[in-house]
Amino acid sequence: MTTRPQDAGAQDRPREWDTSGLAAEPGLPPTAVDPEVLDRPRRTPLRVAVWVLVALLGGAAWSVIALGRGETINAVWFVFAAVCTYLVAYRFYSHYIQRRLLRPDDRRATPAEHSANGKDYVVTDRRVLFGHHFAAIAGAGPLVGPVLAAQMGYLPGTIWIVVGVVLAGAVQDYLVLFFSMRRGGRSLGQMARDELGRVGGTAAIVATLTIMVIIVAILALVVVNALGESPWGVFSVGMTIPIALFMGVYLRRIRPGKVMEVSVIGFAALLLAIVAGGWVSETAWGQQLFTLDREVIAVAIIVYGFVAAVLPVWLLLAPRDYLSTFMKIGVIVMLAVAIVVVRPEISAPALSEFAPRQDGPVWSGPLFPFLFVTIACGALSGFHALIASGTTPKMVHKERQTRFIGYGGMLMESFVAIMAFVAALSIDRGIYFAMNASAAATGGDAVGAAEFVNGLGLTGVALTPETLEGVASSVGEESVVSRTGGAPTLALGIAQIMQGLTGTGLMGFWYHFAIMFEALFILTAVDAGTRVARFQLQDALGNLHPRFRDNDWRPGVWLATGIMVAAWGAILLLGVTDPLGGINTFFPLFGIANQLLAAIALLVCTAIIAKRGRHAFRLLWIPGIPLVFDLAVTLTGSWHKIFSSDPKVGYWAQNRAFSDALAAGETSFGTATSVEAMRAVVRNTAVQGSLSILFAVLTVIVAGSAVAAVLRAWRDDGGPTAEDAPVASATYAPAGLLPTAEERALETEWARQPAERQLLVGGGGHG
Amino acid sequence: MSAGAAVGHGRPDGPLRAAAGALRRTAGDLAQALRLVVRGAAGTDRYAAYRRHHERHHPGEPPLDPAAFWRAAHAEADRTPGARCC
Repeated sequence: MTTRPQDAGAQDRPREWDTSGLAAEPGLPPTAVDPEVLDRPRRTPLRVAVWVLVALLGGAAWSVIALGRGETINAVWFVFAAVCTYLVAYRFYSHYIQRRLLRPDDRRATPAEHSANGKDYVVTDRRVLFGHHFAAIAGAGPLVGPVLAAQMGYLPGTIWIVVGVVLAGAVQDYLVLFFSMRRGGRSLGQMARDELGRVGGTAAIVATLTIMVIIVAILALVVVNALGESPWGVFSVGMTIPIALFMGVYLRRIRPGKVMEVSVIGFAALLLAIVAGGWVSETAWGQQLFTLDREVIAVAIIVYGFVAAVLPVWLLLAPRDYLSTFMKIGVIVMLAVAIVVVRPEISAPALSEFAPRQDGPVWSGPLFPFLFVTIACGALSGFHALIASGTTPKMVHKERQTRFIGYGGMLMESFVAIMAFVAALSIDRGIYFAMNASAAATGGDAVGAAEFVNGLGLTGVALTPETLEGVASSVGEESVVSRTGGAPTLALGIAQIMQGLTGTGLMGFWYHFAIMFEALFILTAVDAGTRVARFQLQDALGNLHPRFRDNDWRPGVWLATGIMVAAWGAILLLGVTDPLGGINTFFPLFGIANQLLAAIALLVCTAIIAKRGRHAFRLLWIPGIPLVFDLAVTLTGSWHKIFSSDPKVGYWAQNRAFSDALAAGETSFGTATSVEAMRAVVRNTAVQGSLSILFAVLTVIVAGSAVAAVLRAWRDDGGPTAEDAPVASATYAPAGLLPTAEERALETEWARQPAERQLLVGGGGHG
Repeated sequence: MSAGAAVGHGRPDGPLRAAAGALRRTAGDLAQALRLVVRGAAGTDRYAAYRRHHERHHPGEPPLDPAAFWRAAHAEADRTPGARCC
């Protein structure tokens, strides 16, 4: 491992490029405001007063959350604590990272400027790009994880979502976006190969591919669980397919390019489909036709996933993407209105009875590390590294804007996660556990669920079967027992808060509105994830048979798609038929996979910083803090899953327990009531256990090569940079949401230039 | 937060009016920013972005019409798929 990963020419590269010669073209205004001017402290009394106020309000909110010993706590405190912390972190910590670590240089042209091609390399207004980036990173993840984490009480989840995003998630997104931008928009896999060498790079690429498969499978499992035995849900989610197809044709043939117009039409059709679902589910034929077993729905999603991934993008993927963006904006506004206007009271305890134990009914295992893998998106999401490298960095207009887009975009996602968390916490605890415990525990009916929940010994919980039946009928469902996966719980939480505004009559509508948007997000992620995984597989197969790289060779595309769909489809089916409850045992794998990807991203960032030379080592703590924590989480999590002797926690312990029972000739064991079910447990735990081992091994390989790269950097006092050589910029725009006085002055100066000297970015305009 | 900076304009009719102007401008900036963020999230900006690119880099050549642009954009998305997060 002593040879450098770069080609021979890399030896000529310096540790850091000399940028002293980057002057603007003569006759043009400057392309940057002097960073000394922008970064110097401006302590006017007004500013100081505002920030002291923000800090005090945040501190007060945190005190209420952490120390409140009343019966209930108002949801609005969570919003204050989160928003004040985000503001302080953005203003001070991300600014510190910018000033000390990344040092963006607006005199350098971004890839969007120097490699502009009108396709993927397009200079984009910072605010438009913020929306674009946010739409790409935020999906169902921040809505599902927090719901499951509510099992432990409100305090650990709130702290992790807010502190985690400030020190880990937003830092990862910002660093990856910045480093990828400095490298022409290279992908995470390519950067891993550049920085960590061939072994570490290959392990990173294998990990990415496996993780994609796991994430798609488990997201699909969430949809299956939400739609099982729900004719209303099946009908309205099913209707999104013809609606999207209609939109695709409309956009292609009837009114090309009228995106906003077709989105409004599609959104109206979607609302109609939700309402119509209510009517259909009340008819005999509707119930007969759309009440489907979860196995049937799983097979339908697998077939759908294959077809959607080989159909042209314009027909299904693109229009559904427009729909899901509309839903996303709608839902975030709805959540915010629900929580800020209705201000629900939360009666869940700060730390629940399960916090010190490892046998929680929603997911098992001790709080550390499993809370930190259950909530991935919203606090730290490795998947974002795939968006922050590749797509977004090719559209950044000016270097200093990466802070607003990368760090700021992730803060927004965290805010969505906090609101979802609060919505889940606002549900009665008895109902929460009845909905989220596996059918194996509750028996799948209201009587069994009430008995099970009352037997958990939760203070203040006395659940009756009638309560559960009442909740189910109020949202237009047959039953809400063991509707695991998070989506139905969140939907109920939102519906209950919204009825405070619109009255009980609309409960069913709001519930299915929430189910619909989660299903839409997830189907888009399933389709897009399959396509990306297929693309990577084609690339790998291309090494054996070059024709696989040709995207117009349909047999190759179909074969690669088929392999990827078979991979996630198999895991999905295992999850659906799992006698131990499916999501409850599979979800930790999703979290571990996502956090492993984050570890890889942070390792790559650490290696990049170390290569600047020994003087940069004192800044390694910035990616180092989240990295060490994340490695501790993923590795202890994997350790528990592989080696724990508690069958509830360890996959292999469970595997042995059931194998031994089978060998002893028993015909039922634990929650498995037949030999067949026992064999299924043995098979599933073997798959889960093997995946845990694979993830742990890949983490160790990537971490090992990163440590080697860092040590090499210390020994040689740095190494040749993999950054592209700097090119002088010939354009200017402010960095943040609102321009400072100096930025506004320079922007105005540029606006006075003749049009042919300006790089038109759209949106612009001022004063 | 630009209220403090705008006071420096030193308009003869007093700092109060200057502060009010700065506040109005900030509100306008925020409203415009919100519009642009939504436009970015919805992806409706892409054809306009292409036209601006074309105008600067290929002046004189006729640009693609919307139908042709979207056909090309979707064909490109078919070839190189982009990830969507969970």
